Amino acid sequence: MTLLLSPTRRRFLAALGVASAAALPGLSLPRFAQAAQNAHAAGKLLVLVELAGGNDGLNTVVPTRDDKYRALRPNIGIGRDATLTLDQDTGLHRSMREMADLWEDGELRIVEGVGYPDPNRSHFRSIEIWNSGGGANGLNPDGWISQAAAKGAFAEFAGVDAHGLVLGGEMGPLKGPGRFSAMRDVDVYMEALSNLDGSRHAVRPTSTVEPLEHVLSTYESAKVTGDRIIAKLERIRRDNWSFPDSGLGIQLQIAARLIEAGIRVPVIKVVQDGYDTHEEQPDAHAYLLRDLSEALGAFSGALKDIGVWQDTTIVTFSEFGRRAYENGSFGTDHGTAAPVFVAGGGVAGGFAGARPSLDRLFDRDLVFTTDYRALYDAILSDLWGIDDNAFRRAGMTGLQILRSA
Amino acid sequence: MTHALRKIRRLALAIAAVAGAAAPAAAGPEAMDVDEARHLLSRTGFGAAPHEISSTVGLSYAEGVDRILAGLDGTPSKPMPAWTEAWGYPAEEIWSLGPTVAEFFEVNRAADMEGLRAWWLSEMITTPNPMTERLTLFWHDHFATSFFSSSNAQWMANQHRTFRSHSAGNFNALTKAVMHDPAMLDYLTNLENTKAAPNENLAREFFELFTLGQGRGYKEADIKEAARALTGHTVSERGEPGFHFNMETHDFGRKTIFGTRGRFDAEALVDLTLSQEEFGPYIVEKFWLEFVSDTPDPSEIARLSALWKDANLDLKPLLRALLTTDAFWDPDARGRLVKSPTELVVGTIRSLGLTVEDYGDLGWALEEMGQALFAPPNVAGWSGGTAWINDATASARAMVLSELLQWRDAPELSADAAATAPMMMLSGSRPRSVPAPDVGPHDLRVGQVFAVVAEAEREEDEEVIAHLMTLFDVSFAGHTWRSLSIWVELFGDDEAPYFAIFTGDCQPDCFATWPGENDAEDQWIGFTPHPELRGDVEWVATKDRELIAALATHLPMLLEQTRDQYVWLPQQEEDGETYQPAEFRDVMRMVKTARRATVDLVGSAKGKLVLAASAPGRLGLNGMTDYATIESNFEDLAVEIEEAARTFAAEPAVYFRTSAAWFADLPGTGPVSRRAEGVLLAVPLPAAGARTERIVGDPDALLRRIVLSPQYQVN
Repeated sequence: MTLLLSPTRRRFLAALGVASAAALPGLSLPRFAQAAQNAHAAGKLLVLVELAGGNDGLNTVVPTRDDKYRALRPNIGIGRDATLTLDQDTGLHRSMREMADLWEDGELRIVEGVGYPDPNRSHFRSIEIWNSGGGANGLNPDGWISQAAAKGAFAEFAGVDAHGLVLGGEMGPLKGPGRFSAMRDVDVYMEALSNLDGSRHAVRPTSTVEPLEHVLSTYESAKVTGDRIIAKLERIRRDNWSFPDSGLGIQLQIAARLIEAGIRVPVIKVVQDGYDTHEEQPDAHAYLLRDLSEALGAFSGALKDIGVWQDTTIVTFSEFGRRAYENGSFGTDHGTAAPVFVAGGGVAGGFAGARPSLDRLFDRDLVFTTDYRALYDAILSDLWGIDDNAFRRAGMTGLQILRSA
Repeated sequence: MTHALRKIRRLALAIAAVAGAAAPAAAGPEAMDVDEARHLLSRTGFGAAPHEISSTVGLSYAEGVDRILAGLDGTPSKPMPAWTEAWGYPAEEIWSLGPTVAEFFEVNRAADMEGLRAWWLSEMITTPNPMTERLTLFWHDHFATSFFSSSNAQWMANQHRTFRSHSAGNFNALTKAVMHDPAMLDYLTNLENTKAAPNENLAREFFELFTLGQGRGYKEADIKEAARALTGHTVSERGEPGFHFNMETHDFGRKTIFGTRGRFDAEALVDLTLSQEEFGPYIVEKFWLEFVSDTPDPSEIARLSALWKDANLDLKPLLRALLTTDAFWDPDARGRLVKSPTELVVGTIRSLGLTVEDYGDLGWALEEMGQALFAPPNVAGWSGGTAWINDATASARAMVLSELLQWRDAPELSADAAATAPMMMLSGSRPRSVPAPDVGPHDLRVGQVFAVVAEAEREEDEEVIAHLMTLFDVSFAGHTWRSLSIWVELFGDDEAPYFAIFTGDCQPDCFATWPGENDAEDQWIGFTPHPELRGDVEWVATKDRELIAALATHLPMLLEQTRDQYVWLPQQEEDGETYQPAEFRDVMRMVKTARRATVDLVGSAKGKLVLAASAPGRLGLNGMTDYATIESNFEDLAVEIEEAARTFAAEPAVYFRTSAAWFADLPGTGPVSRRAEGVLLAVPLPAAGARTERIVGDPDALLRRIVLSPQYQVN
């Protein structure tokens, strides 16, 4: 209940001597003067949107002409009339008007049936599998982005402010070594940096005790990253675009503000929680998808104004889709494959991959058609030209997401 | 306590500390030195205060461990907030007072939660047995359940009580209690787990996270079968909200789990699972990571696991063995654990003897660092270990510690204020004062009436009207009910409506004629008051007949109380259709018919109806004065309630007004900066020579240097 929390938070910040953002003077440069400066700030920008809880793909991108769909979803299935038409067989959930606009502009790609073999239906294990890129049996605790960074993926981005910023949720794909910071609240973040000690030695002390070494290096990187980001953010103290007043909306608003300020960072991660719809799904799901669509619509508008939409790619991901058949509580249980949205000014619009057949279920569930690691290969190669990556070497390839790639 | 008295107390403690320091302090299993005492205390509690270290130095390892285990009976040192006791709020009915009241009800539950958080933090800060709190937190993390799922603070409080009372008890008993715990059953959607449509959520996490561990000795097929065993384990829909075994939705068929066939339920599932060969190491490893080091030793895990199983899964023998392993006392294990946010904050307050003025700020600090109590991120709990610290939480930790260090010069606490503050004192609102009504022995006293169901449908050309009302906060003839529901239903042209009373929410045995109905599947007594029944009512106890007579007689007046409630309004449905509930006047007509027929049968009420408005606290609506005007200053009121719930002050058993006073209490000998490091740090700071010397004359600066150091983050 944000109603309760916000006043306390304000008071908490006040107690720490932090002025509220609203009280600070607006210092933004004229928007278009900034655009030129921003255009190639960090090469291609990837914005990862985690749909936490497991999004129900079948009720998001709906196979409207499939009789099997209606049989699997007698109560919570969505009728053809209640969708936004994508093509003659397919409708988008009617809450997603802004996404439908992107589709019509040819800036939305829907990759169908994304998943992996031997699917795991545990939230925690499956998101770990998605985060690490290691497949069902992978054990690497690090995220696939930070693994790529460790292998030099972002070497060409000399002078970036960070390799990645998490604005909400777990570190996820950005977990592990590398210059990855989490900034879930700008004002708190700014104040906190001023209290970080232990990084002001000419030579940073090291430790052979792993947990302490972790603390030492984290303090160091937090300070370095923070100082640079804050220096740029100081220039922009005002939110120039309106976003939905939701968790996701606020995160994307901060993202827009950072991008406007000229932050150089190749990856931004945000999260939208609540997709674990075991019961009473229809209303909850409609609310979530509306929030997602409105927030991304506002975000794309902001990036167009700033002039970086052409260089931005938004990718949604979720730990799993949901069971093909509905459960007895007007909801759906943990499932397997689901579609992934890829949106951006340079994105090749349209469907990619094959739609899982509802006639050929395995274990009464969908069988994936596109390995999620092919998506990761496409991101690394299409955005940053990293053709020689672990996923391609493992044969996970064949997907294209950008027009010019 | 006056300022002068405090000074005297501190002085006495300082003298005691000097006496302690004079004792011989050779390191080793037979007699702990300062480092070892700090290690034991801070690993099993929250930091270590100078006086705690002084009283532990010189004990043998075994004596020190025994002393800690002796305090583990789970009893808190101060009582939990009053609302956590048996009375339950009308959570299922409150909506009928309209959306605004319902939202205000939610505000109150959130405030309750804040109050419970504040209470727990204060308990952690003041308790003489901090290991109880560490273990309770350990189980909260292990059997992770979030308030944000049910929004039911009472369930969270009950669950907390379960963790606390079993904190160092028996794992089998604890696990069984958790599998019957309403907050858990709700969190993992077991309320929807029925024979007709099994829901695997709880069964999966039971194996993966609660008992065996991911990928250890169970298969997908075992999960499916275990889900069947857990069907029907749900929460009562009417009456006192608690665990309810629904015989209609439980699958009594035989299941095959781990190759064993049987008619398993939750109880049997726990026994079967905990007797598996593979069970043990996963839990013991978790204990190791919590108390020993970040690198579990597989052979030690196996040894401890076997020892634990031999002890019938009692936790104290396991804890004793764990805390006396060589690995625990190995100096190389020092600093191998990252402090959780709770350890960091509570440990700093206890170690330095700081004064806490506002627990609400502590709650926020914990959330910034990633550990909101009663709201773990998911059913796997907090990730823990080095995952506590990333670029962002590192900043938050430094900020919070910097703030804590200033909590020295708090204004004098008033004992009176501290005692009364947890009660609702709302300056902006005056609770409607209700004169205590004159209630006679045969009067029916009702606190609040909720109209919950009002249906009018046509079935085979016959009009069916059904109405459910719930009386809340009821008393009659010396008995009290939390709630008492009445169902009235009229089918077509029947002469009299069906009339049923819920018997399940009155303790003990309010219905003499139907004793023990509380355990039964069907807790309703119902009848159609037909004249032919006249002979049959003879065997109903007089008292019961009088109650039925009272309810029937007053039924129209009770219904009248609900005229403005939400249930009578048309509702918009999902498909865009409008749902038209029964008309109030039709239900009134039915209710009057029911009265007439029932009174003919059992006689009329001997006493009057006393409509006494329940106190806002009874309904869970603290701060409400008038349903109609609440909207005007809703947010102000919400904030006021939240603040009232959590604003109270306390301090650890030993506290210090100044950093200098704290330094005076330090045990050991040698330079004061080294002694301070010895009390606060598991690993020493890098030598800083002249820098330390420069600030040694400034106690605040010296403490700041230690507490804001990266070394302070590990233990």
